[in-house]
Amino acid sequence: MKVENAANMGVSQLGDLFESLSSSEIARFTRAIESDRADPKLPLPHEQILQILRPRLASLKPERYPTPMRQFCDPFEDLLTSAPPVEKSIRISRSSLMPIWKVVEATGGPDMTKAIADIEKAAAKRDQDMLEQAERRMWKLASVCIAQEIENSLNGVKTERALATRLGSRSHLPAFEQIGKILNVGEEITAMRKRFPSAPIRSLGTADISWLRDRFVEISEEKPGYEPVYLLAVLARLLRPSELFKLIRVLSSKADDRTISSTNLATTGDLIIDLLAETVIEIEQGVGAGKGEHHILSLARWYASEFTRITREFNIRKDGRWGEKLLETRRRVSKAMANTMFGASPDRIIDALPQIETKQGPGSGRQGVRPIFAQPFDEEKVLAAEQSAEAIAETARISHVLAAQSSATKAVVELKKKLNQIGRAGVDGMGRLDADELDNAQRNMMAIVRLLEIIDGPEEADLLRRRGMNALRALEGRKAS
Amino acid sequence: MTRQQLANKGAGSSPKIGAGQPDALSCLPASFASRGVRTPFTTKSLRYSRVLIGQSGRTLVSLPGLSGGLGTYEMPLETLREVFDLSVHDRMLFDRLITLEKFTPEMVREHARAVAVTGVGGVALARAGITGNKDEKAARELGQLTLLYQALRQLGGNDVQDMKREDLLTMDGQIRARKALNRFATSTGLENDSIIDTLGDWSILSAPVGLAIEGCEGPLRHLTFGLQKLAGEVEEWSISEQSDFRFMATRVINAASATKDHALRLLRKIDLWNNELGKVLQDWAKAKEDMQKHIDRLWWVLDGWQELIDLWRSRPQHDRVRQREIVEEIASFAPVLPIEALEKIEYEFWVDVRVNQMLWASELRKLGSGEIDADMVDRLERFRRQSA
Repeated sequence: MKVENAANMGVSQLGDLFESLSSSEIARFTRAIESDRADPKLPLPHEQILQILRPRLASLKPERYPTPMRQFCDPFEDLLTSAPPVEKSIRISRSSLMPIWKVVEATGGPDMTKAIADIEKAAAKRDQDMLEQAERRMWKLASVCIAQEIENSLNGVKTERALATRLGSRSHLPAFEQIGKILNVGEEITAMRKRFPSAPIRSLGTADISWLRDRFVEISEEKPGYEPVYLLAVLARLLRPSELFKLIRVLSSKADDRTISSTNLATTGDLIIDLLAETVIEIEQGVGAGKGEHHILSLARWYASEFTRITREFNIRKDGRWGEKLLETRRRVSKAMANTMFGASPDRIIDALPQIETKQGPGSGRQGVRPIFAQPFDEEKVLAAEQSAEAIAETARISHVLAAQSSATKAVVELKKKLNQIGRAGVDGMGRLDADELDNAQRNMMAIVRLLEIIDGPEEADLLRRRGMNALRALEGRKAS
Repeated sequence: MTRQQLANKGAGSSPKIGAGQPDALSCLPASFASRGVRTPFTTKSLRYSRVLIGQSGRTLVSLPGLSGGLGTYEMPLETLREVFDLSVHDRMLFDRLITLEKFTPEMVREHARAVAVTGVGGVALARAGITGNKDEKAARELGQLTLLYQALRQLGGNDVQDMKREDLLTMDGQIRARKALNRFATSTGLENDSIIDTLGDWSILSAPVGLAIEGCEGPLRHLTFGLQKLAGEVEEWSISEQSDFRFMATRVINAASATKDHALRLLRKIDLWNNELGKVLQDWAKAKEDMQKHIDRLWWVLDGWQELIDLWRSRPQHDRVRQREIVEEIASFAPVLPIEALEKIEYEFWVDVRVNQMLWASELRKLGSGEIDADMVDRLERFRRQSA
């Protein structure tokens, strides 16, 4: 299709059109739109078109047109989040980008204007060398400009307020300062991103560690004080933050975290633990918002593996700088787990199953009670129960890391007991089932077998299954005769 | 237990097939029978396992997931329960498989589904089985009706050209159809009822494939087009990947596309009979034999792909890391076609797929996803010594 035609189309027409395009066509079309946006020659609603394309671009991730703002953000791209700005987060909110870019663009002076113009020229010519040189100049200028603005703002409340006003909100101030520092090592970060092109980095090998160590040493010689910022960029590119402890261990001559507190590596270690604390907050918020066990489990699993890796890589002491922080996060996870996974969830599992009748009216003998496996099998509820049980069982397996053994053991023992009770009562009552209730009874019985297996392994579950199958066969035989 | 040493030769680079290196082909199974039939066990260590009858006539189970790239563990099926802590689902499936004397993908699928629908493997598995049975039954019944209708249009003469497929659901329509087909039977010297009977047999025989008409497709036709879709989607996914994952994704795309091509060729041969209704009805025995042969072969060609397609479909939309793991798993365990199904020109292609698979399996193992612990190694080694 021709790009010009896009101007005459409605939103839904455009949406339909994009659906029909192949991935390479989408990539080419996006590039054409972005190129025209940088230097408009056609009367197109660029932003609107890109907005419609965005979901597809998120999955396709084609190479994007290098606009000055995009290149400005390149060194801290891994740190970007769609969440609003938070005071103490290492993440940079996307909503802060435009205000910050505008201030930098406006206060950068003629050199900045020249660098921006060069980026645009290089993009249009597709000249990679020119683009790299221009972006490096832009990062340096922007870094100096931001540092200057921050220094001025420290002169008094008025100047600080003035900067906040120009940024549109005080909430963008921390990101503004952070971006300034990151851009100072923008070149080094870009080299690191080229060394590890696949984000996130799954693991750091020995060669990776020694490469990163050399870069760290270079930065500490040439740009002292900026090492933590560089490590932050590495951290943001890692799948598992704890992986960075491998580098810290190599860089540090200290044996444990009690003695490391005076080095500049300490700040980086703090950051990793802060990241872990973010997971803990997510767990607590998930618990509060009543999110499913699977969501909480995935967070807990993540927390547990990170906790284990950190303590394995480094000798974390209870009274050390990181030990205290780590143990505090663990206390919070343990509490959250006791309240949800091992508290309310087991009851929900039992509620999905046939209920053992407890109320018996006057004169109602045992013969009068319907077999419990005659109760209707509720597929949706049992499916949810299976998912809860899987979450409980897996959390119980890692409960030693979460310091939640006692609540886990209690929950598992309780569940097992109740499942066995229902299973036994169900199988015992099978002889009194009507012929047309067999299928329903089998589903009820198998639901308990499966739950028992999830919670306690296959042995007892298989025993119950065999007993149940024998009872079913006997019933089928009776039906046939 | 024996261990096939597969990767010692040629691993590390794409081997050239030539007169000097006849052994490169040894990494491919010789026949579908020696590749075995996929068994959907749910115990983690048994993922991607296959059952087969060994050269000695013994029933074996092969376990590629345990091998760590060196090859595939093969052990007698009857020892499975002693070595592995089987899930309850697998114990039920095992009890059924152990009684069988021969294995075909269709047979194993039927047994696996019978176990799944009981609910022993959980609601999701039961639901998939029940829905599968229901959909296949509906397609079969609609296919049967469509086949009858096609026969009527082609062979029933001018009197029935105004009839619609839905008319066959009414008593009047059925009487008209029978009369028209009886006329054809008389003119060709066939017995009156044999046409209806043959059409019934035909629709049952071809049910796994079904017809190329919406709502009448059988599971094998769906699977063939599922492969095409998988290849297309993985290709789109891989565009934004770095070279390592793109390389892996390309092997998935290639293997899926090449298998689809084989399947399509067979599908076309089976579909050809639909245009030759008269011939089929006049010599049902010959047509039946030919169709059965191709359908059986199609089962083997596509065996093992369904769960890989299901795995891809289950990928989380926003978790790129998990998506990569899934592509890695599909690349590592994609079924390779055996030598008996290949033209010489395809040898190098499939050897390349298989050799890379063995390398990735070793990578997967390093990442700790091999699901094999020290205890299991001991048990496996004990069996190996006993059987040596």
